[in-house]
Amino acid sequence: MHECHNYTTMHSRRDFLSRLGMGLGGAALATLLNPGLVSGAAGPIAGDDRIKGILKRTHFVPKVKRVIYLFQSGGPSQMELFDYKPLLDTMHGEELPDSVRKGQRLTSMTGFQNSLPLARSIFPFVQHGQSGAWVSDLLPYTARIVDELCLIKSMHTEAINHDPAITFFQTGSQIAGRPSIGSWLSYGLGSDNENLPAFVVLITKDKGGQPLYSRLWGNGFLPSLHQGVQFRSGKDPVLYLNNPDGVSAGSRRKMLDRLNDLHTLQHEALGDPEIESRIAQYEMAYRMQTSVPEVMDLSDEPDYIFDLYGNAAREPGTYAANCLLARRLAERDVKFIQLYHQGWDHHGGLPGGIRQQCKETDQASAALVLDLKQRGMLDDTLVIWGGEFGRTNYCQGRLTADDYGRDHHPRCFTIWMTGGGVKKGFSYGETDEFGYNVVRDPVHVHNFQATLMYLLGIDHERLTFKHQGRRFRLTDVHGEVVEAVLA
Amino acid sequence: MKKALFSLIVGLLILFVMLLTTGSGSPTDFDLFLGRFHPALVHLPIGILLVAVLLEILTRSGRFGSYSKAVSAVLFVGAWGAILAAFAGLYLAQGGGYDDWTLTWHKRLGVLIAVLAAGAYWLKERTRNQTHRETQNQRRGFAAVLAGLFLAVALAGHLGGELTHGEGYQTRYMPDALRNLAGLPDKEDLGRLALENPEEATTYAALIQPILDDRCVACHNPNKTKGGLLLDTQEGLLEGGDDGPAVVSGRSEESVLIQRIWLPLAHEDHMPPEGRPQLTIAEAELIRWWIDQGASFEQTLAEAEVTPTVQTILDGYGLDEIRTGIFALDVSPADSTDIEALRAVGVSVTPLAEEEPFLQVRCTNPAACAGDNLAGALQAVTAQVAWLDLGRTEASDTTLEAVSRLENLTRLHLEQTRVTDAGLAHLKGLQFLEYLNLYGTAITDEGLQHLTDLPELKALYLWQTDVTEAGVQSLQQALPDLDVNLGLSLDPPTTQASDEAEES
Repeated sequence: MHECHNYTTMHSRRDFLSRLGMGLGGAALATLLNPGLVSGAAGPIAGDDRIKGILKRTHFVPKVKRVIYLFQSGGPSQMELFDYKPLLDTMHGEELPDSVRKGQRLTSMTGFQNSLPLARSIFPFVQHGQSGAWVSDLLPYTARIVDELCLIKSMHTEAINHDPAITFFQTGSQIAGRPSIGSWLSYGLGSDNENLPAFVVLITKDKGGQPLYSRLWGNGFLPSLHQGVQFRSGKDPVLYLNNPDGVSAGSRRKMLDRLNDLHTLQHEALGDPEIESRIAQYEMAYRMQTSVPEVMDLSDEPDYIFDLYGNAAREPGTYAANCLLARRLAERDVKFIQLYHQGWDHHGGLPGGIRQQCKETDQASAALVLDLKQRGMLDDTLVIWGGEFGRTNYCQGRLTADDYGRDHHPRCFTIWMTGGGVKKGFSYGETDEFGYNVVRDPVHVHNFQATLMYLLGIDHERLTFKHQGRRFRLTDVHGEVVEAVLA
Repeated sequence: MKKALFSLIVGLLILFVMLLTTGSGSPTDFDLFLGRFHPALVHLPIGILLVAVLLEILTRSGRFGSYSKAVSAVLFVGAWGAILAAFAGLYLAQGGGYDDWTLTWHKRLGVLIAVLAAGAYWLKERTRNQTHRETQNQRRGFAAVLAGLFLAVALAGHLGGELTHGEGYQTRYMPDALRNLAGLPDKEDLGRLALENPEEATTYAALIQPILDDRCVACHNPNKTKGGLLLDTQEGLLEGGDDGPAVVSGRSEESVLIQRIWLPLAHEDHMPPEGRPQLTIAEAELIRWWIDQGASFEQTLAEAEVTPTVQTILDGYGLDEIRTGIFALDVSPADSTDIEALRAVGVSVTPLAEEEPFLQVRCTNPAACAGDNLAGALQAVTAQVAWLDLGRTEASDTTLEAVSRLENLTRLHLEQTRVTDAGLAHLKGLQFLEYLNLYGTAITDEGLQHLTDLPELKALYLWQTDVTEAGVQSLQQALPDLDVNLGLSLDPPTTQASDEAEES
């Protein structure tokens, strides 16, 4: 139904005859008399049906109702954070053996480097919690919640550079244009809160680094009401949401009503489902004029909550403030809350850079998990922390006593998850002693996506959308649920 | 005729003596060589004796009266065939490894067939040689013997088939309607494990002992104890046999049990012996996995660490679909009008999942969830509501009265509501309740006492209530598996100081 202009040929002679041929003549006649009957996949225009998802029932009993994805953009170094490799301490400065790399492709940034010296982490690792997970000194707060976490140390991806890698993680394809995870969930499950979008994006302000494009939270070929909506810090959290000066709430309402009438006429004439999307978005935007300021206003948060997330949470737009905001959005049943924190791309000056990144994110990430837990929300929320790939075990650039860099490494990296349906205090997968390849229980990006969908009650193979003649899904033709991490 | 009859009697006598004297000792190779003629010999008398029955029927129908003379000759050959087949069969049985009951009856029936065939021959000959016509009684007596013979051949043949091909061979592809008549489960349930209590079933009892029972216990039981090994009990497995322990915990490669299974079939020490039903690769793999995991008799299936191979096997057993808690119940879906009535109150109602009758009910309108309307609408779906979210609404103790009737409730959100200690008394009967969120309410230690009888309660949230540590402790004595949350803090880590010093 969504193929370009398909709706204009909906009642062609061929259509009509084939319907008659299938014994559906009566139905076909009805549609001819009233095109609105079959025009939109989303059904009649009026009513609240359109905020519900395409799946009237989930495939499985869901383990979680919502996801908070703390995306660490740039590729955080697993070597400095979670994947402890004592061998690198002893082989520090020695060449990466060919027997480990086996001629695997490197980026053009280190591919022509004469020497690939192994680099140890200058940050010491200690075991934490009952689970005894190794966490470096960089993450003192995360270290305190390791018994809540499911660490996946064997993530691997296909892309070697940022944009394809992050696009792959978020849309299931390295090539831009597919719907983002949050859009798929909005399409499949709909919204639990008619006053807020099902898919909200929060980006740490004033961070440099690898750019983030809005297509990362784009709806691709899905109806546009499923796209992520970015909430910004500052006066206008959602751009162009507030009434312009001189327009009162009443006149806005009247304008919308007239506009809806026009849209409805247009929809009846053409049957383009995108018109329905447009109507829904106008109405949502109207309701958001009240709901967004309410959710963004942190003044009702007590001091001990700011203490928990760290003082930075008082300053809008920081990662800590966004984590707190994520909790507030989760409390209001926003389905997919996507945070981005840029700046993890440490090709050089890694020790200083990563220390700063951890300072900005460590406490708030841990605080978010604990805050959800004490509210009883960790049982039906999934929290994910991770980047688009990992970093090499060898040094990029000059290796000095206290400074070094690491290049992109797609063959292994660590992410963590916690929440309903996921094992706690658990570490899955293993890399070799050099931290270069996965040696046990690899988890591909598609498997991660399939697992995420499973936790929300969706069979990733059955949530599809037909576009340009084929059915698409988040995991393309791949992906298996990683059952070993399920509780 | 006398000579012929005499030869049959001699043959039968030898057969009787053998039946009484041979058990399943340790046969010589020559014994087994003779024994293996059984399958070759056995079909001959079956056919011949059935021909005798057929001829007799034809004779009596009148049109083929001349066949009468042939009947006794056919019976004679059939009787000798039966004796020889039974002869070989008794040798074959010495090899052991068969199901005791089936074997015993197969033997008895085999000998009975030989006796009946010889008896029928004698009767036929007697009437043939007498001067007067066959009497009515003779006719009936002969018919009865032949009928018995026919029955015995059919039964013995069936039991023989079971011995060779395993139990259930004949009924495997029987239509389900017939299977059910015979008290058998549907075909698609074959090979699936129906565990009564899947959460508590041990790996050993659910998966391992059944394999041993099927494949090993016929020879390794207190009556036979081949190789000094008992495989019908845990003690026997650990004690082992003449070659030492059958199982070395955690080391399948050193366990004789596994070594014997993996030997080539033709090898003398291969188990089960050649010619007996063998373990499937999946069964051998399960035993190997169980030993490598520590050969525990207590470990439950839920605790076991399942490898991908084993998962594949378990999927085949239907163990991927263990249904527990409310999902094991037979609850019919709610009426759509009842669901609509519930929605009309102002709550969101969603099915838990496709093909599940259960519902999640979420209150989106704070005022709607306080009144009698909700209580009334819930009446019609008391069995179906599994998750109920009344958090941050005006729900109060009176609302909980309606909640008390939701017999299959597993998750209940009451955070930031006006419920009090007295209201919690209504939750006493919720035997499936797993999750209870009371954060931000006026609950005190007193209220917790109403929760001590909730057998499934796993998570209880009590942040920002008046509950004390002592109150939680006394509740946890009653419910040791319960995880109680009184709020959390994230104190500055001790290593922070040194980090900051380094930075400055």
